[in-house]
Amino acid sequence: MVTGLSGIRRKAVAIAAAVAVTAALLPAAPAYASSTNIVNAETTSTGWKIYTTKRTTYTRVTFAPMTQYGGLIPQGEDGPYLGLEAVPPGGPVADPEFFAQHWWSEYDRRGLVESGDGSAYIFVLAACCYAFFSDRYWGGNLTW
Amino acid sequence: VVRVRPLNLVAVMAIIALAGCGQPDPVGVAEGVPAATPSAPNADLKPAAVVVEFRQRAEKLTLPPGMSWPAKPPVTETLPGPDGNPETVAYETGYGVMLAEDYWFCSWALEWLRTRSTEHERAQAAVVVLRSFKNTFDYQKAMDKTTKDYIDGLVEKAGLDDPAEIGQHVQGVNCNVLGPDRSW
Repeated sequence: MVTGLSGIRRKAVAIAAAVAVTAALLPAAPAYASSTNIVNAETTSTGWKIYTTKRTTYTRVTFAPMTQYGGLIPQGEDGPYLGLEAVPPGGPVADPEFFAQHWWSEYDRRGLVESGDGSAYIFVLAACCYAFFSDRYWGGNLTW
Repeated sequence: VVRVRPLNLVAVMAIIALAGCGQPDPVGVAEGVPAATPSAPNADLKPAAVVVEFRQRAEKLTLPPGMSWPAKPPVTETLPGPDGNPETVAYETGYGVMLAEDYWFCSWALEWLRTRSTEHERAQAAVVVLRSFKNTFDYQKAMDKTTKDYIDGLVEKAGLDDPAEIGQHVQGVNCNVLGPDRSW
């Protein structure tokens, strides 16, 4: 009888150990929506898109253009930009310089968007106005 | 002698674990990630849909005594474009959930600031609620590690009765979702 109970204990310990090992091996959940595809074809304006992922201090933003479009802006000579802005989740503040804004030209591939204070302010990323002329189109992957 | 089969032992352990989950929580503690957790993270929401998300999440969260949910949450409909003209704003799915949880967290932080010197039990209850912020979509899904560390530090300071950082958090833009009345 004692042997039987010990067997149960061993199995219970084995189950607990397996659960612990499984938990330890599970990868941490990735940050939510830190990368997004932007595909936009021949539209006059997409407006702003505000993302849910929160950041503090600063966030580096990179843009990888889709090969078929050949770059940030495949047509035209001037005008369209990718606008990025850090805004507080509760809405923009009155001081436009409080949170940084970055407008990408056709030659940019990466940028830095940071909050005004540098440490204690939470912000989300807003992207705007990619291809805002009717004969322009481009696409790619925005990561931050 | 009663033989206990391993399968039964596992079932008993599961029942004990579930019974533990059924303990009543203090008033206001977040129930956790809502069932409506976004399934399409890159989808666009119009401002009106963000308001719906906000209200649905608000229904499941309890605010401190004397606080109420805003009739209209601060959901911006336009922002200036490169030429200065207003451009429409779309939101990623989950933004309204996150905003409601921000409002809830800021409300309880303000409750703690208002009661810490005069009503010890209320202040302690507020700390318990603030600790449950870890159960929210906002903390678990929207925040990167740096932001989580910042929030963890605030809650820890509240537990130590240190109001400096949490006061700055509530008064600053991080809690502008509360509107102008944030005095204590």
